[in-house]
Amino acid sequence: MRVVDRTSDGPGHQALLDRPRSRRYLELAARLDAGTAGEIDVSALAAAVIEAFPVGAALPLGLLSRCYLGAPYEVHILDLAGEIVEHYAAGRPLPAPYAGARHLALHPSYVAIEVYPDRYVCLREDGTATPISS
Amino acid sequence: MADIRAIDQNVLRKISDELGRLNTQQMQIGTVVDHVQTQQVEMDNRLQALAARFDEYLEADRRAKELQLAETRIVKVRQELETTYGHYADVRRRAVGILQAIDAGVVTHATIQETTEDVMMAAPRYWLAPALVALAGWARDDRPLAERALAEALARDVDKVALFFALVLRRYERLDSSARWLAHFFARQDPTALSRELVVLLDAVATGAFGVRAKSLVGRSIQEWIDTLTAAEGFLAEQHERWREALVALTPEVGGHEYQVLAAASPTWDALRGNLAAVRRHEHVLAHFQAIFDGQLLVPRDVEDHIDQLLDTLVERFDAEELPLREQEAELQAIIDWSGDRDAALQRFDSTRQALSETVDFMGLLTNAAMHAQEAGASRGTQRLAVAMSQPWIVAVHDELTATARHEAPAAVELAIDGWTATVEDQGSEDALLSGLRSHFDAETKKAVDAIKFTGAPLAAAIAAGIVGLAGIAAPGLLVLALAAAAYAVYAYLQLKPRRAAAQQAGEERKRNAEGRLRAALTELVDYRAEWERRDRQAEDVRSLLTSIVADEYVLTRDDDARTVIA
Repeated sequence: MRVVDRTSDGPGHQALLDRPRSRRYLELAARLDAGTAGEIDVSALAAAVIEAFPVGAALPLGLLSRCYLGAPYEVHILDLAGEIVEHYAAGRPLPAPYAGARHLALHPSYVAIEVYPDRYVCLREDGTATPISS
Repeated sequence: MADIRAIDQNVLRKISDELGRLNTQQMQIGTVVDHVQTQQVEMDNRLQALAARFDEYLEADRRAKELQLAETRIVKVRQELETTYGHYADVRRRAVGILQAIDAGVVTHATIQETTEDVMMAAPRYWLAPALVALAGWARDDRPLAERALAEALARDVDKVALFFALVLRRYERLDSSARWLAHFFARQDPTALSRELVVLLDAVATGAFGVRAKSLVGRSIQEWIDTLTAAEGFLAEQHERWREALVALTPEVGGHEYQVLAAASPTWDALRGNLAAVRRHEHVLAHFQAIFDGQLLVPRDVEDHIDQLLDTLVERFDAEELPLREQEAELQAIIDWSGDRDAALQRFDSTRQALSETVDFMGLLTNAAMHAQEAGASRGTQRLAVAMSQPWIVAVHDELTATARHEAPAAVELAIDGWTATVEDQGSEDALLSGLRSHFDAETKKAVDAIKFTGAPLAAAIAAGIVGLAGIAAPGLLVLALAAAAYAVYAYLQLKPRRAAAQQAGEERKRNAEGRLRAALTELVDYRAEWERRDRQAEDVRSLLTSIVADEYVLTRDDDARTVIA
């Protein structure tokens, strides 16, 4: 599966952005900490995350969430296109467009932030998805 | 030569005289032209006044004709109304009388029957006449007649008959039958164009005035409305926008007296203020919805009154077929009231007609009831119902506003104090900032002190004193000048030290002031962030409250299957 094929962002896709996310999907997103620090290959995990999106739903560029590896790591990115997870220490700048979502990812109310080219979708533990303009 | 000069002078004198005359004539012409101009202006003014009076006359004439025309036409319209629908008014008067007679039980069934049948004969197309016959039949247990009359009434106007019987039967506490009529009435309404009065009915149903059965039956209709509306294209976006506006309207202002030092010291203040207002909104949203759901829900006494009013309105209101003539009558009456000023009259008449015929879609009705209960005429019960039914959208909008406020919270706060600028990040250290500020002002002071040198005028005076002094050897008179220049140069040189000291002191003073403002701004920033955190946490309280509103006591039917869960 080529990720880029499904990252198109038409009006039909927008409507699906706020659909509640399943528990399974949130669990997958939470498993990103299972690796070690640095860039790791998580192609199987990325594929599973992509599978969790229904046909017709826009795919995010990646997921940004709080890192539980411990200091100095603060957040990590699951890059769905590159199928890698990268952990970022506090103070290390994130690449665009992830940078603007750092505060949201660190907010205790959200378990992860889906990052799209023009918006973020904040995910709560109960699966609620809230899209906002980035 | 002398002759030539004499001639020349004569000619010149002549020319001069002529020129003088010409000048006098020109002045006379100028006076005449001025006079003509004055006359023209006066003429213009008179013409304008005349035109204005003529316009006034035309307008008065037009109004007089409009008035006359309206007065003539209104008589005709009224005659037509009387001829065609005069008996409708009679039916309406009798309907109120019959209801009161049944209430009081002071009129015999025979009289009521006679009256209703009489009415039936008089108003051949009017729905209320057979409805009254049916009512009288029902009152004396004449089922076949009641059913036949009812069938006839329904054939004439289903909506009004259904509502009429729902209201009348409720009045006599036949709640089950009333509920069936009410359900029938609701099922026939168009959810995109509801009368504003429907909120009264909804209110009555929500507060249980029509009984439990009505609640569930009407609930089914309403669920269908919601399904229909939700399926319409653009509905979700519209609904989202509607609620966003409703919640954003609760955003408070941040006062000009708050965080004054920070406001003065930070170019980021506008963003900070906007964001603070956004997080302060949570408290207001919480208070609004808490007030709706706090306390016991009692059926307000005025709901009963409102239902009776609705019955009166239904019975007394003009029928649809009368409406064009009634509107004509009202329009003509407006022209008469405005003494023939047709434009003003029509403007007023239009706004009245719009207010009367204005319809609202169901979701708009719910939003109004939830957010502006008083204006919408909704009771606490309807407010609860409206909030419960709109809950998924309110939560979604609240979530979005919350996430947007969190996203837009300025992570870096810029400071600009007396030429010193810095950016405060989240973990900005006061010591580091203070040391940066001190270095800046120390450098500024040093620059100012270093700038005070023996240059410019004093230096020039010293050089001049030297040069002039040398020259003074040759010309002793210049020595005085050389001495004066030298004295000035010496004076300026002696002033260098105190001037540098003063600059140093002024620099230190500036630094102290800036330090004070920085400390105060940072203190306010700490307070600001603490308040922001506290206010932001209230967003979760709002969410808990809103998501807890799913109990069946508020909702007629559940609406939690509208969204599907992925995977």
